[in-house]
Amino acid sequence: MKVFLPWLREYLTRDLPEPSELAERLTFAGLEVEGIEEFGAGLAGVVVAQVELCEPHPEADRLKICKVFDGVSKRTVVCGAPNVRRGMKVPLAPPGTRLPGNLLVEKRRVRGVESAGMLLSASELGLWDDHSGLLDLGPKAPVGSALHEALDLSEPVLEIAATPNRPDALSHVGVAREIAAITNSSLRAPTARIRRDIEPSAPYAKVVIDEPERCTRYVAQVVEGVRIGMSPPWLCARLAAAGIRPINNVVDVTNYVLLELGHPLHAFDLDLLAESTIVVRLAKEGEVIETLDEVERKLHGSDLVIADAASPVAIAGVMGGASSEVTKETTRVLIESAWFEPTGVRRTARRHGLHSESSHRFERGADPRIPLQAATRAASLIRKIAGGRVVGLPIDVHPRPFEPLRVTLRFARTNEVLGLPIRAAEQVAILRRLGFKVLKRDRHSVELEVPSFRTEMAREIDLIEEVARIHGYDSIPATLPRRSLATAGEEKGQAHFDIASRLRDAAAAAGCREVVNYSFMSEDEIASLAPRDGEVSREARALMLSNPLSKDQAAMRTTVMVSLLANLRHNRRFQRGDLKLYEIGRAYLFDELGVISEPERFAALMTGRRRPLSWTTDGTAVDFYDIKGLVEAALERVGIDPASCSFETKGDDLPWLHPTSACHVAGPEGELLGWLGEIHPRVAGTFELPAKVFVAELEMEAISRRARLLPTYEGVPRFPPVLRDLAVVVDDSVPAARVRQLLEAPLKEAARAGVNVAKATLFDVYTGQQVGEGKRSLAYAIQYQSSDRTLTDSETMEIHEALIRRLQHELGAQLRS
Amino acid sequence: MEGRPTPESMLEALDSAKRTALALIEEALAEEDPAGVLESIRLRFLGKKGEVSLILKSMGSLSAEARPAVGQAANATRDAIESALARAKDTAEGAALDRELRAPPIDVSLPGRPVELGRRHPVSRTGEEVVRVFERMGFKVASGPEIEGDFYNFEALNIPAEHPARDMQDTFYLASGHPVAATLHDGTRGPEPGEVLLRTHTSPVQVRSMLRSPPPIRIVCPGKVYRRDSDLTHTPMFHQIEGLWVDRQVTMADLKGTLQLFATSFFGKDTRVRLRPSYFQFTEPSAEVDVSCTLCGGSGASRSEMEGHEDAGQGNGSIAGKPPQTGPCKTCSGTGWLEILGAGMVDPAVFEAVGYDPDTWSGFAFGMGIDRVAMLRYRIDDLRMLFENDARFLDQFP
Ligand SMILES: [Zn+2]
Repeated sequence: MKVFLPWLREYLTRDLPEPSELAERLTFAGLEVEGIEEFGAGLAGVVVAQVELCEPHPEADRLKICKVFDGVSKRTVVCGAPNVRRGMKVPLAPPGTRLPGNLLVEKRRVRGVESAGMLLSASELGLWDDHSGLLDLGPKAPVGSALHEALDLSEPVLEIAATPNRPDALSHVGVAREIAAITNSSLRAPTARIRRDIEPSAPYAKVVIDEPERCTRYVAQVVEGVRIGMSPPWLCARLAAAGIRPINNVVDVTNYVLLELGHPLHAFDLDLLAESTIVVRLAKEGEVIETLDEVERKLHGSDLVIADAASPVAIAGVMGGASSEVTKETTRVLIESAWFEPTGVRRTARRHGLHSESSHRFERGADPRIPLQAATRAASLIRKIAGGRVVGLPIDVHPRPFEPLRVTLRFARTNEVLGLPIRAAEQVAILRRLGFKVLKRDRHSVELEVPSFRTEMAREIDLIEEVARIHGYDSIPATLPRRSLATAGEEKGQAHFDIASRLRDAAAAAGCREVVNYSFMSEDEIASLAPRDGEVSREARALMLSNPLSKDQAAMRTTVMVSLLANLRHNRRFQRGDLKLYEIGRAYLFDELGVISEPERFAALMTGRRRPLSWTTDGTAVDFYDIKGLVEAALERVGIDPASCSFETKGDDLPWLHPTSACHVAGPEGELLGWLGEIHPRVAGTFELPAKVFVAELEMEAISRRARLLPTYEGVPRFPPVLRDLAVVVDDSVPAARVRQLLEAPLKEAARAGVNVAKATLFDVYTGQQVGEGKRSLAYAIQYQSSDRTLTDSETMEIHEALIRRLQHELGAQLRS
Repeated sequence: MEGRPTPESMLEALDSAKRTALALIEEALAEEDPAGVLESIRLRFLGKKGEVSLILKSMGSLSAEARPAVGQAANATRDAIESALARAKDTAEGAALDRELRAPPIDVSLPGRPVELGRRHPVSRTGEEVVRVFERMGFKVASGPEIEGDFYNFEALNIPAEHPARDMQDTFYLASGHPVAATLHDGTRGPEPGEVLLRTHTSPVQVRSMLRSPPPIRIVCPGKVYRRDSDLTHTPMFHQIEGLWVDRQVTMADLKGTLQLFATSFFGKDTRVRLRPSYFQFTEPSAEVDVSCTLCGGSGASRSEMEGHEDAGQGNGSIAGKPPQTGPCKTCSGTGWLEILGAGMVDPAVFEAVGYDPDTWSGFAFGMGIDRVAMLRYRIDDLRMLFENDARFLDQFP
């Protein structure tokens, strides 16, 4: 809502503060001023001048040579405007004036005649669109005075962003009322009394309301004999300052009253209404209407329309129709001033994608008491500006009389909510300034009648807010809550948050960059997650958006990995092919029953060089064991021993991964923790990526059930271990995990000797000629440890040999010499 | 020389061995690897089968009278050789150290072996730090679904269908009517039918938390939210953190105090907070919360006084006389304040929707945009960079 200060002043008895101070005070009372601009800025030098003589230019048909008096001197100006005439008062820019748009007016010769300045139109002055010619300032304009003084130009306009609960602030009077309340001064509301110019000899119009719930009141006022034309400059200026383009005097008046009182009006050409009848009814299926914006609209059975005896002539509360529009030929006008139910207006406006000044106000709740006053005000302005005679008293059909709301405020409650004691008298005074009427009052409470323009104020808490904002939020002290009982938290949220923090540590230690992605993916990306064409996996079945912004963001991602792959694609365009990324975020899935789940995941991606390019590194690329190392580190960071987890390849239920290097991660009890591996070449193709991209995802929920963020100290052996190496040759089908398991499993020889195998570290894997086809050699560094003594070589020898026998027996292993 | 050794011959042999050894030791110092040569000298003379040891072993053939003198001489010889070896070793080591220390220095300018530190995303780090501040005030982290039902995202928050307040949030909807995953603590309310949407704010977590647990409640909920909007100042997904404190006798003054404490902990001790009346359907009274500008400290003036000096090159270099140029602060557009939060007292209608008695319980709620706070902190001026995840962007946030 744009508020023009000269207009606003009209309704206040006291001077306004400086615009910036006014803006601040309004903002801190809840009407946020988003900006202050100047309407009609940059018009210094332009003066009101009178055309004293106007003769045709001998050299040019369309030009006139005018003698113009600017209050001091006379000058000759060549003018091409079609409407220039003798006696007219117009804006003059003498040479040297710089006009809006940075146009410099200079003395120049036009077809042999010297022109000392320029006569101007509203468009040239940057005020409003009007190409009909010079701006006619009217006979009363004072010759010689500065244009901005004559027309209230170069004055501030406040841009107010009224929240949806403040329809009352969508008008100049409404804002003035607010200012009066804030500054404790009084409002001078405009008054209009109807003056019946002629008594109708017969009923001049008929109003029928078929839908009294949707239209509780309809006021119609007829004015006859109007002359349609341009509005006077002061009215055009006010509309333009408030952001509405002047159209013609009658339409301008309806807009003027809208901006003044906040009530939307509509003007019909009465002669174009069949049988001079207004019917407020629902649209019939199949009915169409061409609205004023020249769009033909198919109406819906629940759209409320204003119809004449034949067909719809307006969409109620939203926009008028072209068929009954006020035009140059109009002489009889019917002014509509009604109250339409907000929800219906909103539905209809949304259905037709129409957002008008009118629907904006009705949706938020117009003042149900104002229709008569608004119609009267409009009629008297039309009479003044467009001439004509007011016909009879307004027709006022009022099937649902308005019942004002009553609300009781307990004075103590204000303090309980705000933590700020405000005297009862002050609370009452504030509410009265805002238009509330005191019905009953005692020491503890007051019963108030809510003003009709604030129908949202239905509860005590609403009144407390009113008191708070006018009293000022800055007077509320800053305290801390007195009670701080232990509160019921939400375990899962906190646990995930804490675990996420640990996983970030692990990822950072592995040199990964954290990313944060949109939760969307494209249909192509979804398809690439399917096992083979035609088959569907859970991840290849995404939740689709009904109104996505683009095809690339049409679905909710089913893995976090897809986002990381897209990040890699982006970075490769900038020569960043060595990447280690991770993200903690959700995937979005649904099961056979359609039940949605949003598992939170830790996802990582590695590709390119293992170590950054450097003179100290050899440029080796990452492989499966790098991503596995990250997964193991992540598990360890949250207190899950990776050695207690199993990494196993299972069927082909990870179709986006390469079948030969991918696996599931399962916890100690076989519960699924996640998966990792190299991406499938098909997926790489979809994302335009090279081969050898390694990814992993872990389920936060599963991790958090197994995690131990608070470990228990277990003691440190006080004696040194004995270290022995052991290299065995086994079939290459034997998983290394099996060998390690056998090495670390309890051994009776060891138990007898009070010795344990603390750790078996695999330090070499060899395949090749020396061990033979189908075999590989695994070399371990084994630590023997006792808790009560320093072991000797011979003590461990026996156990070492027992281990070797076990490997030979279980796996057919041979010692490598 | 065959035959039994005599004391004289033995003494002579010892003397000769000593002289030879000492000479060899002397020569060894000139060798390339003196330590190795010295060791071989030690073995040759003092080893188990060394010359001096052999002489000592053959002493058994001497008469008892002759033995002490020869023994003494042998010991003296051994001591002399040993100490000469020790001295030579010291000398050699000294020389070696000397050489090593005088060698040409390594190129210390070569870069060190890279340690990959990893990077934190600025939005995630900011979110975590905000949460940590509230944790210190006793808040617990709560979470909820991002795919929500209309009931939780709107209805229960006092935003009925067809209310103009819905215009403030343009919503993404799911294509088909999936039920919302929602099992409530009392089991009385199953998943609500109706449109399934991407939550437009973190406020539904308030509703879920209150439906799940009786008061008092003190939670923060960080998370992703979605609005159907994408331009220079909007992304379709962004991050919010919601706070909720419900207890007996919680007031708006407590809200102010809590946010003031947050602001000073998070932005710095001189940070000021102010509340402006505003409107949210689920709080009343409602407020926009501003903090004093983190860049200009609330003065509204730019700190880049040096900017103007570059243009001064035209004249005779009288730069010193030029006053520092100060314009309005870009971060707060000269207002001195930054709008970072929406807040208010929980609306009684919300308490009624979750079954809390509004006459017994009161509380406040607040919501903050994490992305905006991150942009302020790191002075990121292009919103789109946040979710492009360009390595050149990410690398700026250690
Ligand atoms: Zn600033």
